[in-house]
Amino acid sequence: MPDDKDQSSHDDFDARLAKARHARHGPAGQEPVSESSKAGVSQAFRIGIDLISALLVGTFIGWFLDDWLGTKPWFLLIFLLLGGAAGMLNVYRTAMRMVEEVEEEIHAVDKKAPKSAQKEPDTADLDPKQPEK
Amino acid sequence: MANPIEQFEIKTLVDINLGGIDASLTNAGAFMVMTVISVTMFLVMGMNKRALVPGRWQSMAELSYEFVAGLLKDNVGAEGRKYFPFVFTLFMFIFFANLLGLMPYAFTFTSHIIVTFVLAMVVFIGVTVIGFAVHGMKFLTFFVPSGVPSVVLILMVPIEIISYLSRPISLSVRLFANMTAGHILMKVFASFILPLGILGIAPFVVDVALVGFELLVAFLQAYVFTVLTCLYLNDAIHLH
Repeated sequence: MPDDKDQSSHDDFDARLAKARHARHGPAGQEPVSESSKAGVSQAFRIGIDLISALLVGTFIGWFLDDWLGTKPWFLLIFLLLGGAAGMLNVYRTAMRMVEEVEEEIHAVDKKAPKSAQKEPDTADLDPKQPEK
Repeated sequence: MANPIEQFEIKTLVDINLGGIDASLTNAGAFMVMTVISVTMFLVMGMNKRALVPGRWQSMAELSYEFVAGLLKDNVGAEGRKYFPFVFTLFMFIFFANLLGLMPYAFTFTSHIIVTFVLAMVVFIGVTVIGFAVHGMKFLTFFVPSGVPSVVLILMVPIEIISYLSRPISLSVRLFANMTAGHILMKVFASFILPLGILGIAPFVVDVALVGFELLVAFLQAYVFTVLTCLYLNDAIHLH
């Protein structure tokens, strides 16, 4: 008797597991997208700071050189432009890193997908068994 | 109405004077000490039992270790293992500082630019020293992009150097701005609750949601700081 009870509770667990797996793998491709869109604001913020910080460093170097050498506007002008360019370089690198991250995420989902597809017939097998017992 | 910036004010708790240098313990200093103590307690007491099957606390301690170790392995590779103690300390310090700052009446020292800037400068100088130690003068080739005609190099090398110098600024401003903005926002909404009477329920709900959001930001900013440290380490060790 206790054995039988054990068995049934085990089956019950399997059924619940199968259900949970279905619920999880159903909207497989959508989960990471919604997560990354949440992080979109912070990514935009990251890029903005990357742009501004290089501009600030460039401006500061130019201002310092002008003050030191007494060449009032020239170094400031040159380094303002260089700083802007460096900011663009920062933004480009950050953006490319973000693209890489997204691509890795997509790859990870692709790798997971066949696994869940393999498991699905398994869980589908379990489901019809349940009402029989 | 309460001043939303008042919370960032530095207050002296204990006056200490070391030979003319003002070394008083301020609320910022006190919270730094508290952060170090709570991180130490979290890890030491969590790992006290050293159980083979970890309990909840031990598993949290192990999880934080594995999280940072994984970051270092993914971003730097096997050579990064040497720098794990520093990176782990950095992550735990910033993460716990952000979390402690969310407690009522607490002081968030990561909302002060000088604190985050010093943290970023430690990373910046450390990484530069590591770069020179590993590669010697060859580290300077880091500023010379490959496959660029020499005429353009006159323009590219200063740009690369400015980009390199901007790292500690972007690193520190990011953490500082996120923490400051979040705390000001929370305070502003909180100051609307009582004056609005029954309608105050609306800013109250927003504030509750903001606390959850700030918990996420507290982790995310510690994470971003750590990831960028790893990336800079990677640049210094592997030169691109």
